[in-house]
Amino acid sequence: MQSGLSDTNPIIVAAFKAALLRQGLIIAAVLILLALAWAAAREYWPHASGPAASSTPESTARRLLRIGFGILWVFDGLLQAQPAMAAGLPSRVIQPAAATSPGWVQHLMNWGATAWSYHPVQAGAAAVWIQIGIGAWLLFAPSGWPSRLAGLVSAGWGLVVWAFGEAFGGIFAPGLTFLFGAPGAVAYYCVAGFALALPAQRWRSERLGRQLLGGLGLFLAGMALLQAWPGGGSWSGRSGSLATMVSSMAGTPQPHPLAAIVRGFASLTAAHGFAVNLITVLALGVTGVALLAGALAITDVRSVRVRARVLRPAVILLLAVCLADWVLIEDFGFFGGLGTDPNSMIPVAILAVTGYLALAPTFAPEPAAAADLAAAAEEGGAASVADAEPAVGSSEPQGLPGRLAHTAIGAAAGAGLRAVLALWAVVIVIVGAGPMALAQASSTASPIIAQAIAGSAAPLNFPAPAFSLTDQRGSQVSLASLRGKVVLLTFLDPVCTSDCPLIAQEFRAANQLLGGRAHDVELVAIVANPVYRSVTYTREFDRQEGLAAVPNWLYLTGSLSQLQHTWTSYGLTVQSVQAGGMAAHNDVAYVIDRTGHTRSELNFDPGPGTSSSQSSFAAELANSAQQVLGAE
Amino acid sequence: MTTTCSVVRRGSRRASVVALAVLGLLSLAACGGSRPPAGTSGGRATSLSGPALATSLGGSDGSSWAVVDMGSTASALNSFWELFVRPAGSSTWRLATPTGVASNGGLVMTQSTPGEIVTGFRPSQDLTFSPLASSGDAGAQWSADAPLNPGLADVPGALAGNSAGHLIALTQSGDVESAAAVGAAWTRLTSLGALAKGPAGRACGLTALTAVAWTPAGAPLVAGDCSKPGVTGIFTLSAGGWHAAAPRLTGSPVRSGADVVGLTTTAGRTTAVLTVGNHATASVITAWSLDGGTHWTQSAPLPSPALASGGQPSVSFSADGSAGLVVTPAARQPGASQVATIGWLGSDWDVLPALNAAPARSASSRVATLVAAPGGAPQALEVDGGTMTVWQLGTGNWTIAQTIRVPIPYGSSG
Repeated sequence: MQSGLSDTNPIIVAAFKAALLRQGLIIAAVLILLALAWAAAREYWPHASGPAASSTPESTARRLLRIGFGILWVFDGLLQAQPAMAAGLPSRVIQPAAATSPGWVQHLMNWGATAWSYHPVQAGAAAVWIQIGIGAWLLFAPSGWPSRLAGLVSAGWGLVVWAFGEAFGGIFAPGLTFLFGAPGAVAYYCVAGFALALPAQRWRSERLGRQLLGGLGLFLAGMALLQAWPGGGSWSGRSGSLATMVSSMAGTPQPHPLAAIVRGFASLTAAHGFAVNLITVLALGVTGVALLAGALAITDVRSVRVRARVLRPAVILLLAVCLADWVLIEDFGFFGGLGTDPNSMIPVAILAVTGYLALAPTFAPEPAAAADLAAAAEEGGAASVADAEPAVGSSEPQGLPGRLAHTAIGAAAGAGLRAVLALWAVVIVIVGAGPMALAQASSTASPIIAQAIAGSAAPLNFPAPAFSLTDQRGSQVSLASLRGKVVLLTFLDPVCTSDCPLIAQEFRAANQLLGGRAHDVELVAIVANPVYRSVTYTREFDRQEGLAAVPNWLYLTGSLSQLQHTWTSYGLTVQSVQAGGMAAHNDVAYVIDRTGHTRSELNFDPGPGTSSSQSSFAAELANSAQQVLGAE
Repeated sequence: MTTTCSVVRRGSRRASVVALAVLGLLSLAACGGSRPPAGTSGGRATSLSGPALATSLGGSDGSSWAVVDMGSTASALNSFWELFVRPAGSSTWRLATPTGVASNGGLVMTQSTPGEIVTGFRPSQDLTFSPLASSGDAGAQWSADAPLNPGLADVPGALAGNSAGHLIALTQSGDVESAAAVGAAWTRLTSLGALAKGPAGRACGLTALTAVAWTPAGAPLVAGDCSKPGVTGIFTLSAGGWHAAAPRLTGSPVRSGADVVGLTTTAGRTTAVLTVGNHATASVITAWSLDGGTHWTQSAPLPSPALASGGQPSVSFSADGSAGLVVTPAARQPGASQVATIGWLGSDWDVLPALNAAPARSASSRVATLVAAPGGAPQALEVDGGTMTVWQLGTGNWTIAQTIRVPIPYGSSG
């Protein structure tokens, strides 16, 4: 699941920042282009006024939901830009989330984490821009199909994050509790997204509000029951799960005043765990039952009274619970560690208030001047566009392309600023997702992982030192006899227990990546052990590593003096280690061109030997060989 | 397992054909396919612990060799098996672990020709075969020998040499292989499955192979665990086939099967150490033979509550055929290690004072193995991290004879 890299590996961090900057510049350039195009279109078609104010203005409830979650997505996107996120997400976010979940959940998350760890820079940047883009899209597209589509995309991305990043919010793991964010913060994003994707008509009646509040009430009642369940550790004080969790949150890096508050609450919980849990159960239970009962009890006649006497206090109580939980237990969700979102209480609060407002739909009037491309589409905007006319002196072009361009310019000219910004938000999502999608098309990990572990290849150009040794079949092989082929050379200990088998597999994988060009490449290893160096041992190693059948693989050995001479020539240090240690040697690989010149040297310390790091080293080696092949 | 070939009830033609086919398959499975669990210790007959790799042996040249595990017991990658030698004529031990291979997986040793020691490294991490090395100068210099693939089994008796320089080995896949000389290629002799299917193996109820040795005449000896009560699993190759060459247990232990935890032949004397019993009651028996297993003399059983409660035995042998035993209690079991010796053809075990009664022991130390000292008095080798302490038994108590600090290469294996 992991790449094995440190979260703060400077190469990965630098590459991540560079990717963010690069994509950010593209996004900024697109914004400028869109602005220029828009301005030019309006210059060409100055009287395009766009449609009249929409006859289906957005409800206040929907607006709150859209803006609230739009801001949340943007904030989450900014959190994803933390320097340690690219290398650290699989090990510090995904793995802990999956730790107590069943095997099938871990398997699913492992797939996602592996995909991330194979391309940490692209994945990290994708998460930033996708979430900022979704947030911007929600903010800039207030109504119509673009807004609904934004809601759908928000829900879809939320589902991806919920499954692959939050282990389904831990609902399949023991210890589920609303206080710690069950069923996962992003689950609420999905609910919000699906609600925003509903047609405008659904927001006109109180039914949606009843459904939201009723669903929330049922959920909270269930959470209250779980919280009250004996044996879960919630009723215990010092040794209980709540006290333990709060104590650990208090210990994470955060501002001192906040830490003091959380520590205080941790002490309170440790001393009076029963009382704290009792209050929690009662608060969740009363709120849940009140919301559910109120939602069920609303009718046209009694709705006002029910809203005022039952639902409003229940929503206020829920907001208070959310605030208390967010500060005292969830610790704002992102302090300490590698926070990816402000956790679940804010989304819950937004949903609750949205549900309440949706019970009595009100609509904020749309400014007539803020014409909106989406509203134009709903109203049959082509008609309103057609009402305006292009600048004097221009005539409608002939031919389909010309007419399409004419219509597009007209639409652009008639579009409002928010429509342009919404389009820009879509571009942000695409700019974020594109590189990651392209990277996923390759089965190999990004070479940057290898470079982060062992540094980049050093370009060289000098004659490779000669050698004449014995291969695994007993035949004499010299470097001169390999002229005409690119040689990938390394040094392997045939009785090594860790690094050398890994390097051998990376060579094998590189050979496969070379495909048809493998015919032009010779994979050569030279024994790096002063004792176990006979052909018997090289053959045994080949059998162990599945290299015996690789036609362009050579494992060379010789007398101790021959080997020592070769080691010295290639800068290899081989040392015997007392008391049961392996022979110690540096891990290095060379790329030698067809004329016998060393063209690059790679530090080939395989690092942690994860699947992503192995794949990355193989890719780096294959790329190095192909560069030399391509340069000739 | 006995084959049940009952008469099939005849019904309709189709039903009887199906029934015959099913029965045939079942019969094949019962008759021809019975095989013990794969590997050397797939199912211990007695459910007692197998022998620890820690051991010592006395060479015919007067030298003594010991294998102990040192370093960290909590981390397999920081636990290193070490070889020590007390050369002939010397009273002190020194480190002699061969260089060039990581010893995390274990070390197995044997003497072949007089003065020559052969060691094998057990597989660990990505190393799947066993490199071997030999030395003729008490471990000062080592040379690589032909590797063994599959690797050596996880028992101290997995490698045995004889005075003619022949080697026999037990692999972790349950194969028995032999080499005509140190450094020669290995060839397969037999396997657990083949032995278990043979008449001798079936008579024993062979469940695992645990040691190899040679008879004084130079025939291979293979030992294992038997499930049949009162039967010991020691086999020799003669006249083209494998035959039982084991002592027949007498006395109370006959109610359970027997596990061979140690087997060696030195100077014409074959010594076998057996554990019998179960988790309720267990004991240790030594048996000796001078004729390659045709006739045996056995000792009285040594009761071992530590063994019954999950403790692990370490068996050591001297050049004269005497044996040493250390039973280390299982984790979380109270009590000190049980330490005992028995002389060649001895009738009773000599139970030695518990080492924890000796002064200056730390809580994390453990007695690894016993070894016969010059003059006959036993020594106990105790390890604690990177320190090995040699305890000498005097008149009724233990005293420190030597302390060796080993430069454990922590972190070098990954």
